Amino acid sequence: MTEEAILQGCLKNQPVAQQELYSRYSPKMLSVCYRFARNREDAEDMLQEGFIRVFTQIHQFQSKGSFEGWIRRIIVHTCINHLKKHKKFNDSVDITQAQAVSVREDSVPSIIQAKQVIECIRTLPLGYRTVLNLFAIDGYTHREIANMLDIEESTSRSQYTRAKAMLEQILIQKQIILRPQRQGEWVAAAHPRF
Amino acid sequence: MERYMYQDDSFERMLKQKADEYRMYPSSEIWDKIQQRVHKKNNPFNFKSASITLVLLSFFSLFLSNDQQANNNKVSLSLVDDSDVHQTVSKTGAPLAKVVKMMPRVKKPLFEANNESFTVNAPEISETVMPVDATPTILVSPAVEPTAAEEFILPKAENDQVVSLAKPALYIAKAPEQKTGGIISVTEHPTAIIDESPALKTDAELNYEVNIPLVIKQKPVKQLQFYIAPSLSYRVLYAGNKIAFGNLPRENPEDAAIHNPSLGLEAGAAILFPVSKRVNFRTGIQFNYTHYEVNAFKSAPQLTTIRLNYSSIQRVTTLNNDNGYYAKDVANETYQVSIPLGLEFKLAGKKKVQWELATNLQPTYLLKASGYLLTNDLKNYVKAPDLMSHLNVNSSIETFIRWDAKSFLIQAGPQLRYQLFSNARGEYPIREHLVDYGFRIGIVKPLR
Repeated sequence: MTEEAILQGCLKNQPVAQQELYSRYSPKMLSVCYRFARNREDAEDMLQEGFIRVFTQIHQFQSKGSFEGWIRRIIVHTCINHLKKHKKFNDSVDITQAQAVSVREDSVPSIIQAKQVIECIRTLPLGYRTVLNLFAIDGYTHREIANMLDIEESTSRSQYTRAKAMLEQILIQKQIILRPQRQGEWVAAAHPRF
Repeated sequence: MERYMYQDDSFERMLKQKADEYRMYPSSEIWDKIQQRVHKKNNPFNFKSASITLVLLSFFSLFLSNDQQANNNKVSLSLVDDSDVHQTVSKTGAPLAKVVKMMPRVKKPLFEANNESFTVNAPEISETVMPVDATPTILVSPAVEPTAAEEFILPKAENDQVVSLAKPALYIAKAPEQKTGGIISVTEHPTAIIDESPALKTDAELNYEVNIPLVIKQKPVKQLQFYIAPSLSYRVLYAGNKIAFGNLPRENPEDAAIHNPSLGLEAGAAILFPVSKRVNFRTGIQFNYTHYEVNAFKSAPQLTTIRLNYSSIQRVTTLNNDNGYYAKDVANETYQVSIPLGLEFKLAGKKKVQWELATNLQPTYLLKASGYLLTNDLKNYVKAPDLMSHLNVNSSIETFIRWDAKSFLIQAGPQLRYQLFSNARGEYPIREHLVDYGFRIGIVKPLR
């Protein structure tokens, strides 16, 4: 089924098209939710709410931009809403806990690193993690983040700086990446320590 | 050893790359819940949605009829259509197949890449593959048992061409010659397996033209407001038809009695209740002090008459409006307490700075007053606080700028307050209304 057929089907509220859309994008979107969520259950709740919004607001999609990007934006906003609703921004995770991250070993370094990086991001305190996710991965500006999280733009910048430093420390300590020999050169470790 | 050699944003690029490689598969009941919710929401017998739809249709049917056609024309996708892919695969002449579900546990890399090309370690097509006629959708499923709720990561090729299953990206013809060894050279079908979408683009970049309303709806909160408004107090006199001037020619009391404004004050506290995103209901308690100066003359004691509607009273006064021994300004003051009931409208601005308009009615109780009243013949002033009305209503309109000062908001702007009913009791024929031109300064604290 083509992308356009899916869209047209979803506009007509056809379950087949909706399921196709869900099957196509849910793996990627669940990984987006997982970066924001406290645990997998929360991530699935976010995903569920996000796709309901996608299906109910799909008539608002205009073909000027990427369909996936539109879905992803709704998912990200749903995640932020979920965090706000459950007032989890004040939660914090101690750095010692963050360093005690354990991830499942896998056979392919790239795969291991991706999962490890995600898990390390998730061990950051919630405020740090959210800002880091939005800025570094989802590409929002600090101004947009400030509006989304109801914080100052300067707060977003400082949170991100601290989050980045903390994450670097964790990734280097876990030997997922190596300390750069010079500025701008990051080296992924060949054999991460688990 | 993988190397990530970028410039300033190398760390962010690495994070994004790793995050984009990551896939997770939701448990099956999630889809069931979504389906239930979506189709419940779209239930035609849902009374709420049906009534809303009817109301909307009745009000906007004319407008929508034109816009609908335009919207339908707009709906077209800019994403790459896979018709080319279909043709590429069909050239093999082999039947196409579609994998209905793909929830794999990855135990070996799906792709092996080098600088020239990369290959797909495709499993043999199993019973889960169903032949279809024209739908060119084949997803690679490793020879493992499907598992719900399992993570799956796509490795990134070193030539920066990212393989993604987010789109129906993998197309494999079930040709007999391709079954040998289970390895298919991707270079034979480059269009089919390389995701052309800019996977490394950020969400913001992907959405630069997507125009959707912000999903986030911040719930408005109650706010506590404290304010003070220094003002200039005036009065306005009306005679109307009730006044009887005796033998004197009819005269406008405003012309006959001269007064000077003086400083008044208004202070209070209020709670702002959000009505909508742009409107607040405001109520609280407020104290008003008004003060103006009557220009009179000190004279010999005189007996004067204040004629009310159905009676008259006589008082002795030494204040003459026309002439006397010397000029004497008399302070006419009132002390009031009121309960403002009003609305604030946000005219413009966002969170940082807002421009607002507010209006209210203030049921007012007069606590104390000097009570200097003009006699009917406009010649004297009489101190008669007993003739003052204790109940009144003020109205107020103001506009102000409100800005964010981190933990609270500050507001400042001009206001006008007008007393709707006369200062004196209803029997007194000269109606005196107080007018205050003020500048209100306040702080607003959200109540969480």
